[in-house]
Amino acid sequence: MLVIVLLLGNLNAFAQTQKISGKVTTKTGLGISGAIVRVRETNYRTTTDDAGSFIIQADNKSTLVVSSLGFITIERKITGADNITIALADDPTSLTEVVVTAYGVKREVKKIGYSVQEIKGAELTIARDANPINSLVGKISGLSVGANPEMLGRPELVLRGSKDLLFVIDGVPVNTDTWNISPDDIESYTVLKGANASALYGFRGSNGAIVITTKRGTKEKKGWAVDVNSSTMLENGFLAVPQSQTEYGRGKQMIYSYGDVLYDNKQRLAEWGPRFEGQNIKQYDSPWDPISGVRTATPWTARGKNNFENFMQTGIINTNNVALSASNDRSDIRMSFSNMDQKGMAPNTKLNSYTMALNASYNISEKLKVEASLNYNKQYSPNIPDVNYGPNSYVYMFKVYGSADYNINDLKDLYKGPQGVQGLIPYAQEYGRENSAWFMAEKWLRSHDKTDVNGYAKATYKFNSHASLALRTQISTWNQVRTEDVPAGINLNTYTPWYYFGWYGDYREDRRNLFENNTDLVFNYDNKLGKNKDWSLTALAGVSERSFNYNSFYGTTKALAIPGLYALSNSQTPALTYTWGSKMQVYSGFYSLDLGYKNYFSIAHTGRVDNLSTLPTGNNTFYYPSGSISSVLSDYIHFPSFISFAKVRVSAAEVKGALTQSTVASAFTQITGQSTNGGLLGYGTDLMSSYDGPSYANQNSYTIASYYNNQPSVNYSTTIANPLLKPFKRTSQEAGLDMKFLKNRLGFDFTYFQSLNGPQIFALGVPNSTTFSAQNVNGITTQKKGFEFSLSGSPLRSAKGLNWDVLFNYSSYKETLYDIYGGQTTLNMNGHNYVKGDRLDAFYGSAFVRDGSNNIVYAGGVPLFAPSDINNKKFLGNMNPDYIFGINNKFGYKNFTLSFQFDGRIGGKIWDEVYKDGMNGGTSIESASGAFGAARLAEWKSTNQNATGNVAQYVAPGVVITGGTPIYSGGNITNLKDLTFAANTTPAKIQDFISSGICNVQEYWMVDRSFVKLREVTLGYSLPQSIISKSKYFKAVSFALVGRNLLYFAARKDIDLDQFASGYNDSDRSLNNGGLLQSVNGRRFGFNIKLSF
Amino acid sequence: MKINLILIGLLATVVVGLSSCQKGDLFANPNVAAESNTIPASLILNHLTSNLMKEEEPVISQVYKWNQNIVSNYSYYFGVNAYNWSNTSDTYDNIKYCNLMEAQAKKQLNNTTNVYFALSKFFKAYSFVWMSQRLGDIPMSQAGNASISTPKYDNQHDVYKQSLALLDTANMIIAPLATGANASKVVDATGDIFGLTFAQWQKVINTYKLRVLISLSKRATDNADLNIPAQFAAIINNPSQYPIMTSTKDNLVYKYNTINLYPPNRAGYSPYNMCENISQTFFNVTANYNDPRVYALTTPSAAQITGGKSVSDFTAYVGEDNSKSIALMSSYSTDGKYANLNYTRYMSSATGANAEPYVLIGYPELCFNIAEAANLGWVTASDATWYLNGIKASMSWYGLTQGGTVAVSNFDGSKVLGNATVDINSFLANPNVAYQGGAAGLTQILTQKYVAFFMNSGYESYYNWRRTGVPTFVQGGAGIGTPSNTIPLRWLYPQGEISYNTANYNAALTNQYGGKDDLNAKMWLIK
Repeated sequence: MLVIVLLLGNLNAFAQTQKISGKVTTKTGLGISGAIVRVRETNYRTTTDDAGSFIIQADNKSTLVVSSLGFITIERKITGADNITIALADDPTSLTEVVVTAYGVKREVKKIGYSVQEIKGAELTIARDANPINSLVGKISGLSVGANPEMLGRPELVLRGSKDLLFVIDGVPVNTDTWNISPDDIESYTVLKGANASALYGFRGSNGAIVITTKRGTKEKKGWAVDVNSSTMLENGFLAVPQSQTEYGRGKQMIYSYGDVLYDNKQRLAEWGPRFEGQNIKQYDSPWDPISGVRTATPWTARGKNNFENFMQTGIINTNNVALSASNDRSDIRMSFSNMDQKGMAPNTKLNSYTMALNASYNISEKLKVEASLNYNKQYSPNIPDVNYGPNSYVYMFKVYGSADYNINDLKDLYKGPQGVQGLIPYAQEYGRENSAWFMAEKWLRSHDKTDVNGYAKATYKFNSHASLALRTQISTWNQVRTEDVPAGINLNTYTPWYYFGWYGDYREDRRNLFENNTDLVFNYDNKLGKNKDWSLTALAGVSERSFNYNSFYGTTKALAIPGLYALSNSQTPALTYTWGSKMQVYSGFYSLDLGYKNYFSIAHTGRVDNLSTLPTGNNTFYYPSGSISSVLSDYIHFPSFISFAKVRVSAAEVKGALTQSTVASAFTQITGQSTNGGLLGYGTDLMSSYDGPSYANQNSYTIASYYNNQPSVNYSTTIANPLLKPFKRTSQEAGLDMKFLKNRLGFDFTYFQSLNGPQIFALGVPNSTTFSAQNVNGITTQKKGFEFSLSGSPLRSAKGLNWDVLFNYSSYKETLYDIYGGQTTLNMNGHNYVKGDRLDAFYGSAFVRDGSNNIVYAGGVPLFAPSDINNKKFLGNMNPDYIFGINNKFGYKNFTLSFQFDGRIGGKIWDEVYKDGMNGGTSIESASGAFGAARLAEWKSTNQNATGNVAQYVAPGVVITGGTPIYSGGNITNLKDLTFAANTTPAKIQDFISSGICNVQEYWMVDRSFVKLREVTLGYSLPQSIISKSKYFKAVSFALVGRNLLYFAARKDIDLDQFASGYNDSDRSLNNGGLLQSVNGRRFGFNIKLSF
Repeated sequence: MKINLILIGLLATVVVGLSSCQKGDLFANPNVAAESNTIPASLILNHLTSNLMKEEEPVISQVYKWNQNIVSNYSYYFGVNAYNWSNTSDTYDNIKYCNLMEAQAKKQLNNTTNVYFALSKFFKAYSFVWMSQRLGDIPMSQAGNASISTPKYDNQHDVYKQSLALLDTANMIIAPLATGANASKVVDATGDIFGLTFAQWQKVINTYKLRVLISLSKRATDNADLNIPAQFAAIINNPSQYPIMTSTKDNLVYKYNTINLYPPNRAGYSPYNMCENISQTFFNVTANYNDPRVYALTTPSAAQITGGKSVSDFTAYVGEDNSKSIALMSSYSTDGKYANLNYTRYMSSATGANAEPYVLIGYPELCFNIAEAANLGWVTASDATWYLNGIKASMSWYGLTQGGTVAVSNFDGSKVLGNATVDINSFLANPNVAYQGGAAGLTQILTQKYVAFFMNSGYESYYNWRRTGVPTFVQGGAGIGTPSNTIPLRWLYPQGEISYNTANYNAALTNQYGGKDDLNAKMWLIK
């Protein structure tokens, strides 16, 4: 602030001076551009160039005052020497931070009229996650990061209730899976929160953007620098894991026996079998006489209490980065190599990722500068795990249908006889439902191979110190191949239609290629205007072209002809193959104007025109604006001294777009509209890739299909195309207050926002009798209101002693239905009829029927069901959290630092799939404990060790209707007064009560969605400067012990709620009520070493 | 400066080259055919014939619990038995494809008298009747009209009247095509998955019309304009103008193959045979009457066999009660009290090689429909003869012949329990089966029609029960799962109609059910 005040002095000329040249740098030697160098005596001044260099007229006795935003202003006497270097220290109390905003424009935070938050890349490379974006969790208020527990799983990012954020690297949008970014190459992440900040990027930025600035070449005195960062983390100890009972084995209704056959493949059993009491039962490894076909029973014991623990291994994540940067007076260059090797906790799973980054700039002349950047990333995995409800996933094997009646290590000999046949049939604990986990790990392989390249070339021509023109062209391209080798003998019973017992397996291949080019020409202008230079103007105007194309292939064999040969041509019946591609072209024009008057206010305005190839001519060109105003009150209002800073800001923005989608599925899904799981294979997770291309969702068309005996057939659109469709529209407004107290030791930033998403492009239902299911309309508007709050403080600060910094982020929002379409009063979506004003994350499902005293009503021993129509579903909770938060503490003492972060999401409900599946399977610990456990034991005893049939023992606490006929509304009985009730006395068998009873009641499985994690802890030590300075080589050396995901607090610890960041989101309008199985992941511990040469 | 300019020029050239616009139409989806494309009519016919059978209708699907052929004893695998119905599914999709097929056929064949038009009329009638049976009044005359976004409802009477007219038109269009050499020619080898000839399609159309007419029996006398008995008689009395099926070879059947697997295999039911039992309702009118069909279709109760009974002993075939709470059933059949489906027949082959294909419209039903009409005096045919024809056709459809033997296996087909000898003659001599004529005869006809509907013809068993009360369906217990534990008489309108055609929907409710979308209300058809 002072800096600016100082600048406003008069500009009297002074005689008898000489030219002094020099350079302003950071303490680490990086040139500071735009620093102000002033001669105190004369008030002559200049600003440094991009390299930090300056030349100023001064006499050799004067004093230079050097200031720059974010640094402590210093004074330096000119001692006669030319070419002086002035190093500025970081100002820890600085408010004059600079952040990167849209189109790479650096702006002072204090002048910005909307909400942005920045985090330095260096903060995320110590206690690191394999995925760099996962590291942002808890650090940005309003941003929810749903870290995906699966290897190569894409984190679910939710910013103010919207998904599909735009990623921008060095000013240009890129298409990324978030795994192809090397965190060591990142200087900073800036989160532009919503349209207000990112309107300039157009519709791709309508949900906000994560703007990444990469590191550049050094301004080091010696001309070069080398940085090394290495970290190794071990993953061990489950963070959240379903607990299994080990009292009962596989079977049904307390009975089990392996058939008197070699392969018993006709039983698909749950874990509702006999209790482990050492009794003799025919089992998979009991002696079998091939002549008589008789199996001799062997003792039934819990041999595999720790099967899961014995199977899973310690994961390792090893990351290394070496970066070389160099510069001279005309150029700079940075080269960086990174590798990340991850060994998964599931055996034989791993991921390797290599990144090579190169960027360079060269000043051809004073006016012309060229720069280029290239980033190459290769990901490769011979096998990544898959997870869903099916025989392909370990959680299904161990936690849904996990019996303790076999020892997993007995299956390590994959083809052990008598069942095993080398190369054809594995030795397994059963052949009806499950597979041997060791066989899966070694033979059922899903490979991944992806190459990402992005980069740009740019030329900037400076007309003068105020105006410049930049031409840039960028590419973002990737290609990916995924294959799946399904080995001979693997069990896909009842899942894959063409499976048969003893088959030779299958092979699948999924190829995707994306190419996109963004080219823009941008004119920049920056000047002070007016008689007294009271007005500052920063302006930008440009045009851009985006060229996009995508193509994909999906193929699968229909049972292999030769076992072990994984090729599409090796198919018993003709392989199924699909191709799908798209192209798009977007032309845009945009401008941005920032106008400031003295210290009083800054006004910003942007506008953008897009021309999209995805809309029909006539409606395909459209304009949208944004505007903001901010004012630093403390610059001109005299506040009490404890208030050191106060700023208000208000902004509004509008964004339009149409008929694109953020992700794309396999060619099979794009062609048929069905998931590969639901429509083809019966198992497996569908892979979605980042896309941002055309959806083609508004065209009446025929697609090719096949329904019968491979004959060709057609499908016609089910949604009626609308030739008059206009782009969708989003508007948002926000207001914020930023205050600092006690000499900036304490501060807060508060933002309130509201936005209207709509009219959207919405496939609104039509009467069934039109013979269509929906028509595209410009309808449905939802409203979001919320706030974000950041509190930062430095309770302790001492140059030599203990320092303590705290950052607390908190945010909350609600999304409601604001308007539907025409005169419509209800919106049928996600299984409920919503009316205006309803929260859209409200979930309605099947619930218990209750009497007047809230007792559950039973009938025939199981819960009584209300009618099943939509109006009798009950409210089962809101899916979005009430709020999310993160607390980050950093302690520093001399050369030691300790930091830790707690973050979490509080409130909301979720459907706990693994709980329900594990209960249905008889595996979950709750199925054998408490009242269920007592009834299960009593029922077991009633069989007299299977001498007689089991007798029902579980009498659910509740009532039954003994008189009258209930009438229902909203899932409740409305005529309670006409009914008579009595206590339920009907016993049910425990398996029936759970599987045929409560498993059909969604209410039972809704659990609290709240959780808190101790996300990261780092204990670091840097070698003191006194030692470093003696070394010839090292500039900085630091070590850290790190931990990630160390503690997990939640009501139920059988699922890691982290990945479910979104309940309802307005990007795809889906309601995520859970319903997913996930891989079990662990705590991570490790160490990090950083060296600078 | 000059160098700068050259460099800028070069760079600009490269940039423009890199980003040059993509040629051609980028708007249209390159992965699909536009609506203006020529689409061979046979591809649309393929869609229609492939999808004529609704998902809930084929063998061992949900409807056979509601038809009280089978009972689920474990909901996780076989679902529940409850009649907890809500919004109906619908067949308006068929109407869309009929309209598309007519437009393409007219464009490509330049006339409106080709076979695609005949079949389109039939599919339309079939689809509108399908929905009206479930709901009552439905939008028909304005349905599928692109210019009408909220189609008006036609009352049920008009739906049937128009449907009968459509069937008449279908017969008239196809009649001249189904003559001479054409008669035995397959209509469209790739488009018609049923693979019927011109003559067979004509028979299907008229046979189906008889089903529709007999389903109107309650309205036979008070709706002169529909002329129900006379229309029925016109078909029976004029076989050259209205040919009908003459054997099960004329059945409209969905045949399974290696791609389209037999439903128990496709739905993953095959390892779970023990999770369902045969309904006692079915055994009441089969095993109780010494019906040899139980040998072929079911397997006896395991406990009865271990108790010493032979597989040919009809008392070894014990059914489960559909109205019993699923929690009180013998889940997974662990105690072997109740009979299961014949595993070998229905579940052992993925392509259904050991079982019958799925019948949409069959010859045995036709026989019973004629017998019923004769019993009611609509036609002068012999009800006793057609009754016997129906039983014999059904027996032969299930592969049973007098004196033949059936190997009866256990519930998972792993063990042959014994051989049963088929004695159709003694079955026919059973006093409950030997035709009695009159009102008792009518019950016998309806009972045998019900048995012949085992695992076929979708909802027809339920509709016949709803119309006539024959045979007696069990209800009243918790397993029925409705508020009063009685079997509902209809479905709720589709949610899309309720939400987006609200005014017309409400008018239809007022017109029929006192303003309430009531599952227990009687529609005009069965009043």
